Amino acid sequence: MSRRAQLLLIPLLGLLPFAGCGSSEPAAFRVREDVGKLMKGTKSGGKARAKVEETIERFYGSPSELRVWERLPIDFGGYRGRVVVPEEPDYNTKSAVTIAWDAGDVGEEAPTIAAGTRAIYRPLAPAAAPAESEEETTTEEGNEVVSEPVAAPEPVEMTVAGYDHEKGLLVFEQAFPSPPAAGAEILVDPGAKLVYGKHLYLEHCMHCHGVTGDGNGPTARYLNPRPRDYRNGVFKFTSTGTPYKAHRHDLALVVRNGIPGTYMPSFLLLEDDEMDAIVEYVRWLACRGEQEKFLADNLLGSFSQEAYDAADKEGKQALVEEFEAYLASDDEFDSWTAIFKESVDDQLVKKWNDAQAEAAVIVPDVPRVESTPESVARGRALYVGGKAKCVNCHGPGGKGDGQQTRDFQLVKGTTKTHPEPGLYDDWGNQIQPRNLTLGLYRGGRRPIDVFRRIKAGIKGTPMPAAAISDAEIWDLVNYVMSLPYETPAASAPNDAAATAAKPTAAGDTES
Amino acid sequence: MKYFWVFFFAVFPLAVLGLCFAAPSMNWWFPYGNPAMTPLGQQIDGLFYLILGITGATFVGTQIALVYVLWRGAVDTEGKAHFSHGSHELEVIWTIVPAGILLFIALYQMDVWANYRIKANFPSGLVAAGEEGGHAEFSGPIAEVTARQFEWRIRYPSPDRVFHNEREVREWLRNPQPDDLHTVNDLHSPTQEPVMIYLRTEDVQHSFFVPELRVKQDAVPGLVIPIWWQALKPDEYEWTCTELCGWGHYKMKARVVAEPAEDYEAFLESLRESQFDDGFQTASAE
Ligand SMILES: [Cu+2]
Repeated sequence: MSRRAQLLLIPLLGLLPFAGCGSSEPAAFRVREDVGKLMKGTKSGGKARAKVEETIERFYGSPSELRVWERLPIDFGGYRGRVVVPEEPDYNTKSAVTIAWDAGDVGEEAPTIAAGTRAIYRPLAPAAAPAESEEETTTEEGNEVVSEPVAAPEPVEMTVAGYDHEKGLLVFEQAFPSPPAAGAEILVDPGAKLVYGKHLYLEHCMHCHGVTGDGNGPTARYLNPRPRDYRNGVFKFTSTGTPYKAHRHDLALVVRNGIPGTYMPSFLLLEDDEMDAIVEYVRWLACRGEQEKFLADNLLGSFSQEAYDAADKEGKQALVEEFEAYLASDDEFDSWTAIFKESVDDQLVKKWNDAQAEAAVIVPDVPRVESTPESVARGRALYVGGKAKCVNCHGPGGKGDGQQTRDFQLVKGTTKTHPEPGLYDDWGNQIQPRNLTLGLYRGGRRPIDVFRRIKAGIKGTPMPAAAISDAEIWDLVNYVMSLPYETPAASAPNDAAATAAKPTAAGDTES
Repeated sequence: MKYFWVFFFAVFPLAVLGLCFAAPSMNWWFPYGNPAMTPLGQQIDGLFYLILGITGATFVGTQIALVYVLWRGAVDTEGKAHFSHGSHELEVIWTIVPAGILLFIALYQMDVWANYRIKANFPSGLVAAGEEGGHAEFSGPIAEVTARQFEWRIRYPSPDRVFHNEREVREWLRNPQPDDLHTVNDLHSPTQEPVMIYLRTEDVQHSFFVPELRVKQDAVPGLVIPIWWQALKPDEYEWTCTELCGWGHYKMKARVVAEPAEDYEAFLESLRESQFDDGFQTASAE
């Protein structure tokens, strides 16, 4: 290398510390692959793909401008209250109101409402018009309120000038457009929790789970098992029954304790409000992904680009026209409205709310059967028997090497088999049945955790719900929990001779 | 200009000394401005101050000499310099004096080092009878701490378990027991009495660091390393990983909770209760 070239290298070396900057993932939500298979456009311009993308964008926004869509079963944070009109107000009614907070939002303690906080004022609907509106609010920088043309008047953007908790007096910088009626809704700091959750998520979770919650962050490809993709709305380790989604406290438990045997670490030291916010943000990401998936799946049947191209190629003019007519006009898109409504009300609101109900949580109807050798033996009989069929996947010794792991399995919902033998989860990853001899319990090591795994199965995986009685499940729990130990769980603590037989060191067993 | 340099080299060490004295009040000192929360830690602090004193005195002495030489040169521009290269006497002095100081430090700190690192020198309750330095009143480890990317997993022996000798401890370390109790990132320990943990790692090298207790120990693959301390004050101490162990290194923040013995026992009991929860009555309260 010539001397001149070497001299040129010196300023380049100075740039070296900056290498790698700017290559970070753009802060945008990634569009689901299936959406890309939708029709990009027909000759007359109808676009199924754009329809889905616009819809998701409209109701969820982008990471830098999240949207508060109140129809979702999510606690977006902020404080909601209703206007109270006293007989003789002793304040300027033009820009101040007394407010009665909703019980859940503000308790005994005074909320922290600083001057300058955003608020949304919703005037009452003039007549008996249904107030159910498709309102949404952007948080943070955007701060815009959008609503569909419905009977209710437009919400008004306000700025808080001060708040007196004793009097319940909320003063604004602006005047109300018209004197507020009693019962009109005021929302202070909407989306506060969601934004807080987003910041924490980007700090702690995004590297693996991705900005979109698709389990595809920058570090994800180095991990096995893969980080969870929330976008199916399915979480594996829940306290709820088989048909239900996850309870909030299930997600919190996983975040708090981590998942042993995986790369999910413990975030024990998060404060309660941080935990709340993260869990809520993850649920929101799950809703976003789920709705996107539902819309894409429903449209793919009729509006895939492939189907359109095929019809076009074969000259099926009538079919092509049908596609075009269907997509070209938004107003006539009746089935779209139905699909959209279903995607929110049935898929998200109902299912997520149901899972938070007490009835959803699995509570054994008998206490744990004592872990006697007899109970363990009964558990073993169930384990290998035809009733619970554990042995098929988990293997005779509980090492996770059952016959099913060597068979070719059907791809879910099809008649095709996977190219490789073994079991697959709903995310398409090949997975191993748990090796029960390691004493690693991903969903928690309490007996109730193991009980719930058996009772409800593990969602999104081939682990089914066991159709056996609760007392039988306890026998099975006792057997499973005795597997990591050479001697039954009832052994004396200092029985060194019995435990010495196990050759491996504690740390060596995990890989 | 000559006097500028005299002035500069006179003021510069003064500024350094001033900064040094101001550092504790600016929170540029030991963590949280606190003295060590363990007796051994206080001895370690003592060593630190001793070495700081020696290096400080050396620094001040050399600076004074430097300023004197500069000043002489500035004042006396006529005088002739004395050429002393190759002075055997001087070389012997400046070799022997620092070597003596280093040897002194090396010998002086050996007790603290031995108490910190060598098992036989641990407080008597932590070494079983029959071992070198052993004692009949053996209390054994309070926990096994396993570092992994990126968290600390802690395994406590059952409160009912009594370790009589080292063999039983080794057995326990090798074979997890059904009655063991488990936590993550949350290590509880009683105050006042010396306690011991065993540190290991499941993957790469990590390092166990509790600054306020002055405890720092690498976790090395393949080794199971005993560490002890005696927390003087009940508190929640920050515990971090201090070996860059991977991209998620910063996530390995945890806490050591030192609490009075009754609280510690109550903690273990509540841990046992929650770990063996069968959900029969408590599920509705979750
Ligand atoms: Cu580490």
